[in-house]
Amino acid sequence: MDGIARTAVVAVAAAVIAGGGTAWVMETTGRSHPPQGGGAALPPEGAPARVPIGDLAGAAQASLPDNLPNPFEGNAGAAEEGHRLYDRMNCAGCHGYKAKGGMGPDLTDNHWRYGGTPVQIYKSIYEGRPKGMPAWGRALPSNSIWQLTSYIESLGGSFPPAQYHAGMQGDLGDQGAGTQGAGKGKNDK
Amino acid sequence: MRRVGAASLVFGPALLAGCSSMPLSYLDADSPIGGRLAQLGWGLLGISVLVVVIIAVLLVGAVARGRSSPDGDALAVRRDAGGMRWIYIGVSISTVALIASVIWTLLTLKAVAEPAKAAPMTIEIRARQWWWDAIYRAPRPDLQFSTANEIHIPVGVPVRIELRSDDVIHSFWVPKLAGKTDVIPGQANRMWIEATKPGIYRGQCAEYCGVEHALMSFRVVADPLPEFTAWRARQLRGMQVRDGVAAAGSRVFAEHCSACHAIHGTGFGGAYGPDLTNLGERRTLAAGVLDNNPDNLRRWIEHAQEVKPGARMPDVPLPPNEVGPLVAYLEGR
Amino acid sequence: MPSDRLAGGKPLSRKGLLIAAALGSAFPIAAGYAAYSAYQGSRSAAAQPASLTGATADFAPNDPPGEWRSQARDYANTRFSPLGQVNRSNVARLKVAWTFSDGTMYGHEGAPLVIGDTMYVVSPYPNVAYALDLTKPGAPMKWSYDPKTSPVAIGKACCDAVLRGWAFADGKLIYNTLDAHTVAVDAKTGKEAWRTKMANVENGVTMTMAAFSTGDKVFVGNSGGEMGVSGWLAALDTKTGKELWRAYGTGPDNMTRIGSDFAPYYPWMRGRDLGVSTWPSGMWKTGAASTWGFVSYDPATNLVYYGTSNPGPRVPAQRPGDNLFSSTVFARDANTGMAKWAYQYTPHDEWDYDGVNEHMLLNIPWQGQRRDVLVHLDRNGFAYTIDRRTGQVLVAGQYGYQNWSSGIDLRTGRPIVRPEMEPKIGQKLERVCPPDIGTKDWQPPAFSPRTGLVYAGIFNICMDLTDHAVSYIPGTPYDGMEMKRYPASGGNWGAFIAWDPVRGRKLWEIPEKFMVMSGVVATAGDLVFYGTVDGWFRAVDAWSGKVLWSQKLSSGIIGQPITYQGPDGRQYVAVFAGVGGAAMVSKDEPGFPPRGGTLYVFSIDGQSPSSSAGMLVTSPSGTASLSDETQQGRH
Repeated sequence: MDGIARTAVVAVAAAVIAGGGTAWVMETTGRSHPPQGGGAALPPEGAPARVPIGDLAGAAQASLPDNLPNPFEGNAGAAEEGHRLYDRMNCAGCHGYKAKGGMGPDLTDNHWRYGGTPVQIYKSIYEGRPKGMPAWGRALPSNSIWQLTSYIESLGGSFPPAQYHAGMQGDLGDQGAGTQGAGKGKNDK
Repeated sequence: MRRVGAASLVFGPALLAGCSSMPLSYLDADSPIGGRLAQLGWGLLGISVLVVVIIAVLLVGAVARGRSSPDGDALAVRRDAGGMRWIYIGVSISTVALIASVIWTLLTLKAVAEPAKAAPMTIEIRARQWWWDAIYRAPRPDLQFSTANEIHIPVGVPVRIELRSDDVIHSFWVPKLAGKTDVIPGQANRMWIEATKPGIYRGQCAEYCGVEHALMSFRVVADPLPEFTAWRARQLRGMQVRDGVAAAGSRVFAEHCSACHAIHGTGFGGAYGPDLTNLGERRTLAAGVLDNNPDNLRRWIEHAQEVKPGARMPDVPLPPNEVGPLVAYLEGR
Repeated sequence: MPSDRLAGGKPLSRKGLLIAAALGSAFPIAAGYAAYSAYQGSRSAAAQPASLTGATADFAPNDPPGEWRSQARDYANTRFSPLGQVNRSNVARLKVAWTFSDGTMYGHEGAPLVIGDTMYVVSPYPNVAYALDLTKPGAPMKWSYDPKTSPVAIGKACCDAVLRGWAFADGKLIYNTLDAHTVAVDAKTGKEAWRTKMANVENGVTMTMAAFSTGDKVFVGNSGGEMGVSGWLAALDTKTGKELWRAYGTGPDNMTRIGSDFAPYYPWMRGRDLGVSTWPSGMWKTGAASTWGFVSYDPATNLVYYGTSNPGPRVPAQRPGDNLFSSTVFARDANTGMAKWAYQYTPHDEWDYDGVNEHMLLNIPWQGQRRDVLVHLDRNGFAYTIDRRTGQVLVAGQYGYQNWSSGIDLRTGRPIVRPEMEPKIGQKLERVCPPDIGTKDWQPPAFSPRTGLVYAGIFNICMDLTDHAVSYIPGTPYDGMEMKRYPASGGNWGAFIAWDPVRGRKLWEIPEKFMVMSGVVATAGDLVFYGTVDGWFRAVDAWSGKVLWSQKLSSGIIGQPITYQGPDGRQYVAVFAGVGGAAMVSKDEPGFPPRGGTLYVFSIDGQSPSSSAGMLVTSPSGTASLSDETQQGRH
């Protein structure tokens, strides 16, 4: 009977360890995790965009520095979630399912009326723009707008944060590889 | 081998007794399908246990007999002691038992494939990462509506379920009502469920589908027919924009939530997240993860990524004067 | 004597013989005169060949032949001009007489109006109106008027910031602005007479259709079939701009203005609140059925006829049901807006086949009788001839290649949809013909009573379609269709056809490399004019289909040509060049032109007061609008 006793002890011990381990895992699931992505601190929530969704905008205060990088830089999951939001928030309805434009402009080229650095793209989405671009700042939390920005950056037409001035002046239209994210010119297909 | 057999004899019944009082126990079913499957389950378990017992007895007996008759010449070649007879008997019994099990299983599967009478209701369930979208179909288009994560069915009425997915493979499993059916992108899998008793039946996604697969559960609520009809009428009516605190809440909802969420009876038509019509009536939030009460709802809105990290619901930080009315509006107060 | 007696035995008197002779000779004399007058009649008829179909039209309000007072020239929408000075023998001598740029670059879809000695044009966004004095050299501006249209509307207009026309009534130029206002401008002074806000543009509602006037009322409707709007047609009082009634395209009967005298011909269109019950619960509110096409009017019955747009969202899987009253023609009482009958061209539309195309009111011979009909070349590839008193479909002939249906069942009035052509969310459906813009889009045809034919510019396009699930977020598209369009066959995007509305068949077809998205004008000179998307403006023999004259313009032509008689007695032909609108689907085709915005006016040998030898100067005139978009050139 000594074999049976040993078996019983081993079985009980295994059950305790397994059960306890599972319980511990279940218990600790759901604890807070640090925000995804390294990089600069996120802008404060509730930054003013004084117009509700669907209205014309453009006059909101610039509360973000122009050379702020995208906090989701390097995060492929953010670009993918941004793509999902792009379809579901009807961005694709105006800008095309391939972002080549339609009712709204082409987002894959490096022609940006209001600037093509990450924070400028973020602000265009957040604040809305005069010719019918809705202001999403209240409808979407800022993480979601950064995810959308990540997706647009992944299309290749945006400019690196440090080049925000040059980007506005069209100086980077000819530059190709070597400048991170400087994208294709209007002539390239 | 004999140790394991002994252990299972000791612990098996204890485990089984504990299982039947748990919400996901399929051995204690309340539906025609579940009942048949539970029967099959118990039956196959019984056969398996019997087989194990018989083999264990034979093994113990063989070893004991071997010990009790010591033979000086252990290396001598033994004459065939007639063990082949045991093998013939054993294989025949096993074959018969297995074939019988196969036939029983096939008969059970056939019996549960279609309901006894035609299912008058169809619910299209779209499994999304990581929640369940339910669209109640009807012959008249204006009797169609959507809800999410809590599916109501009338008691005693078979309901056809059409399963679709837009992203990855999930599996629809309400243990007390039916078996698992995979939800596969690109095709529609059909099954049916029927509850014989009123009650709340817990369901679970049963196919790994991503980071929050474990927290993708749902509830099937079986109501007697009058209650179900009333519930359906409430869903079709939807929620109106109300006065007072709830009006402020609906404004907050319009600004911050309506791009992703729809509420029937209002102009909010977001289709990215679950339909929130009559959210206050639901028993759980976030696909069965949290009990539905104002504190949990507030926690879910503001810190969804703590509750279910990686879920598509983002953290929506709101000033206190907005989140209070929003919760009141959604809970229907 | 025996020969003196008649059968009855009475003797034949001399007086009786004279009477008999007179009576007897009356017959040959009468017959001879009848034959003579018949001969005379047939001799003059031989100078004009007989109509090929017997179709005729009522040209009320019978405006002066040299003027063009409404977009479609008359209530019946025939776009037929009685002018014959330019005809088949001299049209090859047409040359540019003068031009006018309105300073904008969006698609130019409207037709100029000529009332008396003044021409009125309105630009696409920002919808600046100009009055041009045709009596003076250079057609100087009398005035210009800028309605200060909101730029938000540009981002809400699905298909370019266009305007499809304007109306003239009660001494006022009345038109819709893109941001959903209707304005009336005093024709003499250019000052705003009234302005009515019809909808909120932030919700995605724009207005692009040509206001239509019957004198005391002007009819206007909204756009936004891709934006999940609630579609409607409204009647405004011409004097004050006050709204008299508004009839919605979806919703309960009190919103769609359906009452007890609503009598559709087909049983499946009868019932209560069909505008609600043919939609999933509540979805009728975002069901579109907007009204962005032309309106026609029958003064004999006081009914207006118009069609509604596609249902919203454009993804059919999200809205099972027939989706009434989208893609539907309505006949409504002009005074009350109550519907007399309706017919849905494409129940539960799955491909964006709007029903908004024009309804030409004609009268045709049909099985031994004359019938009042309307003729409608629908987006779905079928040309309908419908009895406009009852709503019965008499003819539904295919006028272009289509593969979404096996035909229209004339017993039930419903199309027979091919199940494999029904799109499902997430699956790519290849080669769906016609595409969303149809076999023919809004571009209106013309009718010639001389030939009895209908002339139309059509497309020859198919699409690859993928549907995506969509949310309703006000102010954003409620759309979901991802498409790639290409020519159906032969590499030509378009064609120009002559159509027999009585027998439902094409007589001839001129294939065109690019789309033909212009309106058509038919004249008594037996000419029809049309323009192509790459900028060719052509004159065609209305009988044979032979192209008699072509002229390349500065940009593609998607507007409607007109013809008028100037104060100098010459006949002019005028059309805008300025590509845009739905023609942009072919913008990757090599040779697709840049945008433009110029009105071209042609005359024989290009003669006009605006060009001749010597130093011509501009008379004192108004100034062009100082709006950002035009005078300042900003965009």
